[in-house]
Amino acid sequence: MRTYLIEPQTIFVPYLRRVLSIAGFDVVATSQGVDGGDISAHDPAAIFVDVDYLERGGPTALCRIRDAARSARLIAFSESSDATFAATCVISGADAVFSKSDGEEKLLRALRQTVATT
Amino acid sequence: MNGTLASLGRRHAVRLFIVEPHRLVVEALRHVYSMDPLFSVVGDAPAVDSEQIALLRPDVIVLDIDGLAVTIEEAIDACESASPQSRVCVLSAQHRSRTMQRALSAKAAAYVLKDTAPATIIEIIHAIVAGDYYADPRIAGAMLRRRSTRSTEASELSSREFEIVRLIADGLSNREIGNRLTLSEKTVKNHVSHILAKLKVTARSGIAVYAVRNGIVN
Repeated sequence: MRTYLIEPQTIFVPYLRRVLSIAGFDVVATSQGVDGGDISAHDPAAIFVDVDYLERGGPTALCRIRDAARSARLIAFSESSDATFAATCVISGADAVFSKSDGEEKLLRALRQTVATT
Repeated sequence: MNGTLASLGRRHAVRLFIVEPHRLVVEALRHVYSMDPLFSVVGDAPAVDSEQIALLRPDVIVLDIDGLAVTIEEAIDACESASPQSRVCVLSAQHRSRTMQRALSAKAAAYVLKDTAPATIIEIIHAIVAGDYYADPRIAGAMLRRRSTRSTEASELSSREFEIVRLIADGLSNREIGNRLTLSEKTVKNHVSHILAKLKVTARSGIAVYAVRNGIVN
């Protein structure tokens, strides 16, 4: 699945690329911020976005990403485990929300499920 | 293997301990450190675990300060008390000079931002193990630029104007400043006009902001 990775914290990129690859996501481009034009140009089937530390806040960023890629699966990733925050992300356009507090196995299971249901 | 070690020069094996509350971030950091064959992560904990740190005595403690339940100073102090020979590498997403100053003043050996490239982070760890210190150059650069700007503009202020800047930042009115410095209110008003022109700000609040930002007042 062609995937666009948005991760402002460069330190996490190699790990996320590896995990996404194991789960069946093919990362075709990475970015440190939300660039609607670049997202549209890559026409990804999935977008994986770390919503922590994004300019103007995660939910706003999710709305902008959704505008740029209406049919892509949008997966948000956050330090927050708060259900209200997750609901806000979904309202803002996310199809799935994962917490960084979960372990790798749980993330992989959820990612594989996302691929399977697409 | 010998070739690998030879190409790494006089670098030594490094034992790391990660203090990080988020499980997946721990995995991500372990992944970065696994890129260097000389690194081994000997342990991790969601908060400063003095017992484990004292037991393991790592060369470097990587301390994520975002979302700490204690202050930066308390966290670094706890690491140092548990293992005095360990060097503390602070990891943060905060591009704030004040936060970096606090970490380095509390004896952290490095202040590293999470948007630093993994290869650079590996170099930084080797450098601090060798006894060096590291401050993120983007934040340090911004601090120096601010200091340089301050010296240009502030050097144009007379000692009397400097004093008035401090009192404005403390929230005193022109009349109160006049009483404090034994000047008429009109004289203070003239000084304030000159200060506004020299600092290139248009309002009194701008003087106060300038004073705080440039360390003229705390």
